Amino acid sequence: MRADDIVVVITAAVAIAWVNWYFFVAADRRADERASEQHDSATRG
Amino acid sequence: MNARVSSMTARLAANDDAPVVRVDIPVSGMTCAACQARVQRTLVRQPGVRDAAVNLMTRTASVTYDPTEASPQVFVDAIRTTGYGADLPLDLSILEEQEAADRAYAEEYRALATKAGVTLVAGLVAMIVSMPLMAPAGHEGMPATSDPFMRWVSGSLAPVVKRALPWLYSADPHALSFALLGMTVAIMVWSGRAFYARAWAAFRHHAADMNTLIAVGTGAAFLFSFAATVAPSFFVARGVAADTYYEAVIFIIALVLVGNALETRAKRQTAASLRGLANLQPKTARIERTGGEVDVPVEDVRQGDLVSVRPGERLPVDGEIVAGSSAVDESMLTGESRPVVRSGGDRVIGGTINTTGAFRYRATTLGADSVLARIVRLMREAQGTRAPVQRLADRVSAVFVPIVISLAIATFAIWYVAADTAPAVRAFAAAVAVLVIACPCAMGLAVPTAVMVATGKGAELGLLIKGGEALQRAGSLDTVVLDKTGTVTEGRPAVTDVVSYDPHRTDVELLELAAAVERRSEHPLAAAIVTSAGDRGSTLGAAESFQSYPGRGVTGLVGGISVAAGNPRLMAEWAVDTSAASADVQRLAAESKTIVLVATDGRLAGLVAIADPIKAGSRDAVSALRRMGLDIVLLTGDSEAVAKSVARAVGIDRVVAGVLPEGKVAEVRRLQEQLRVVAMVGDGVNDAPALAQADLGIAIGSGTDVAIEASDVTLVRGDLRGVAQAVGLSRRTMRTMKQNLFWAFVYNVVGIPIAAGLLYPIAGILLSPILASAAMALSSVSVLSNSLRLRRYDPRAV
Repeated sequence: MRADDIVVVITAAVAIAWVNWYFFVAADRRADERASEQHDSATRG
Repeated sequence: MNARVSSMTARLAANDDAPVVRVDIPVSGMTCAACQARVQRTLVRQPGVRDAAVNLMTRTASVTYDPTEASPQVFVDAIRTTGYGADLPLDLSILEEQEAADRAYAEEYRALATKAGVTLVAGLVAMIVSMPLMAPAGHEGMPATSDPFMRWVSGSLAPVVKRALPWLYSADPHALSFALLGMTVAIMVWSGRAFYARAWAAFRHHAADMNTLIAVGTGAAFLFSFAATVAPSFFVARGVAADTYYEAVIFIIALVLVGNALETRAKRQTAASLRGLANLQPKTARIERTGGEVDVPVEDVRQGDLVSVRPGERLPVDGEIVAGSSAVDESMLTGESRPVVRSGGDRVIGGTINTTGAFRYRATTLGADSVLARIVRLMREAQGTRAPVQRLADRVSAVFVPIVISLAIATFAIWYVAADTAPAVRAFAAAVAVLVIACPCAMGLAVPTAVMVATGKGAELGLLIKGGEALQRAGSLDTVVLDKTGTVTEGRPAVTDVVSYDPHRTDVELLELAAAVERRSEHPLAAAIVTSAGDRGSTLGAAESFQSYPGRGVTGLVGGISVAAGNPRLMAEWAVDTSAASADVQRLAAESKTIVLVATDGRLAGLVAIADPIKAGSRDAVSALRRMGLDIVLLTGDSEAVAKSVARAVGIDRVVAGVLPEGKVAEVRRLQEQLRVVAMVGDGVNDAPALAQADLGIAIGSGTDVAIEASDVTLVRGDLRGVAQAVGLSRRTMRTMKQNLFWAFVYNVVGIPIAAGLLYPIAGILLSPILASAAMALSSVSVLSNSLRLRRYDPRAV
C-alpha cells in the first residue's frame, strides 16, 4: 500500500464517520433540543 | 376524515381550550417524499404549530396552529428558508383553487421543459467540444475508458466529429477547457440553481434529500474539472490525467430536469379527473329576477333563487325542481351512464347536463357546500393521504441519502487503492456515479402516484375512495357484510300486488280507494300505496272523516263510501269477514310481503301487498363479490323470514337477522375477532356505528348525503355493484404499488453496486455519471407510467 493510499483510506473513514454523525446523531440531538425549546415555550406560555 | 382527525388531535395536543386554526399553504418545488418530509418537519418545528401535513400531490401544506402564537406568513417564510416556494393562500373557492393548482402545474412544466431542453442541447455541445480533450485509448499510458457509453462515444462519434469539425481538433485545448468551464457555470446557475439551494437548505437543517445527492455529485465533478482546467500541471506531475467532467455535470442536470418535467406532466395527468370535475361547473346561471330572466355569474346566485335550464345546458348549481321535468345526465358525478328522469320536488346536482326537457329549479346548496365542490375537496384530501405501505418508503428514504454518501466515499477509497492506472480519476467517476444513480425519486413516487390515479379512476366510476389507507384495506378484504334495507333492497316499500275481490271494482279502483284514505297517514306503507296510485294516474282526493288506528290501519269516507284499510286486527274490530283473502294472504306472507286489507262499507273489497323491492344490480353484485373470493353476510334488523327470502333472491347463504344497530357492531366485531378483514356496506344512517367498526366502511349514498363524510368509500350511484368495482380497483392498485416499490428498490439495489464498479472486475463494465443520471430519470418515469396504467382499469372485468 502506498502512502497516499493510507491517507485516502483514513480520510474516507473520517468523512464517512462525519456524514453519519452529522445526519443522524447531530440531527437527532438538534430535533430533541427543538422539541424541548418548544415544550419550554409552551409551558411558559 | 384525515383533516378531521388531525384537527381533533390538534385540540387534544393543545390540552386546553386554546382555539386552533387550519390553513392550507401552496408549496412549490417539492419533487419527492424526502422533500415532503422536510417541509413537514420544518413546519412542525415552528412555535404554535399543533399539526402539519404536507401533501406532495396537491402541493399544499395543511397547518393546524394556535393563531395567538403563529401566523400563515411565518409558515410561508419557514418553508422558503428550506429552499421551496410558498405563498399565502388565496381566498378562492375549491373549484378555483383546483384550476389555480392546475395552472401552476402547467407553468412549472413549461419552465422545467424549457430548462431541460436548453440544458440537453448544452450537454450535447459540451460533449462534442470535449471530444478533442478526451485521452485517446492507450494515449500517454492512459487506458481506454471502461464506460460502455463513453467507449461508444469515443469509438463511433469522435471520427465523425473530427471529419465534420476539423477546426475543433486544431483549437487550443486550454481555450476549449475554459469555454466548457464558462458554459457549465452558466448552466449550473441558470438551470441547476434550485438543486443547490435546496441541498444547502437541507444541509443546514441536518437533512439530506435527492437534491443533496445531485448537488454533491455534480459539485464534486465540477470542482475536479475546475482544478484540472486551471492547474493541469498539478495533475500531470502526479501521473493523473487532467480530465474534465463538464459534459457530465451538464448532462446530469439536464437528465434530472427531464425527469422532473416528465414527473410534473404525469402528476398533471393523474390530476386530470379532478380537473374534469372542477371544469364541470358553468360560469353563469340564468335566474329569475323581477322583470324576467337574467344571466348572472354563478357566484352571484343566492339560495332560493329560481334557476331555469334549457335542453343541452349544464346545471349551474344544486337545487330542487319546482316546475317542468327532464332527463338529466349525471354520469360525470355518479358514473351512471343513462340519463335519470327528474321532475317536480326532485333534487338536481350542479355540473350535471340537462338532456331534453326544460325546467326551473330552486337553488339550494351553493359554493363550497355544493355537491361538486364537496366531491372535489374530498378527492383532493384523499389523493394526498398516505397509504400505510408508504411508511416503508419513507423510512427507507430518510436513512437512504447519508448511507449513499457514505457508500460513495467508500467507493472512492476502494477504487483509489485498487486501481492500477489513473486511480484518482476512476475513483472519482465511480463515486459520482453512485451519488447520481441513487436518487430516491422513484421510491417517493411509487405509492402516491398509484393512490392518485386510483382515486381519480374511482371517481369516474362513481366510487369516492378516501385515500391510500382505504384503498389498501379494500384490497385486503375477505368478508363483506351487507345491510339489507337500502343496500340490497331499494329501502322504499313499494306496492307489489293488488287483488280485488269485488267483481264491480278493478284493481286500480281498489288501489285508488285505499290511497284516498291512506293519503293523510304518515306511515311508510301508506306512502307506498299513495305513490303507487299516483303512478297509475289516480286523481282521487283525500278521504273525509279520516281516522288513524296506530298499529292497525286507517278509515275514512271516500265519495260516500266508508273505507277501512289495515291489518287483520282492524278488520276484526270492524267485523269484516276476511276468509276470502286467506289463501292470498298466506301466499304473499310466505314471500315476506306486508299485506293491507281493504274493506268498503263493512265488506272485504281486496288487498294490497307491499314489499321492499330488491335493487336491480344486487344479484350481479353478490355473484361478482363471490367470484372475487369474498364471504358475504346479510345483516338486518328485519325478521328472519324477510331476511332469508331476500338472501335467497340475491344468492347469499349467511344471514344474521333481527339485530339492532348495536348488534350490527357486535356482529362486525365478532367477524374481526375471527381475524377477518371486514367491509360493512350500509346506507350510512343507522349503520353508522357498524360502518365505523368495520375495517372498511362503504356508504351507499346519493352523493348528496352527509354519509360521504362518515365512510371510507362512498358509492355515489347507490348501486351495490360498486362494492365489487371498489374491491377490484383496490386490488389492482395494491398490485401496482407493490410493483412500483419493488422496482424502485431493485433499481437502487442493482444500480448502486454497478455504479460503484462491482461489475468491473467481472465484466469490465463501469458506469459513467452520465449513464447513471439517465438510469435514474428512467426509473422515475417507469414508476409513473406503471401507475398511469391504472387509468385503464375496466370495471366490467370484475
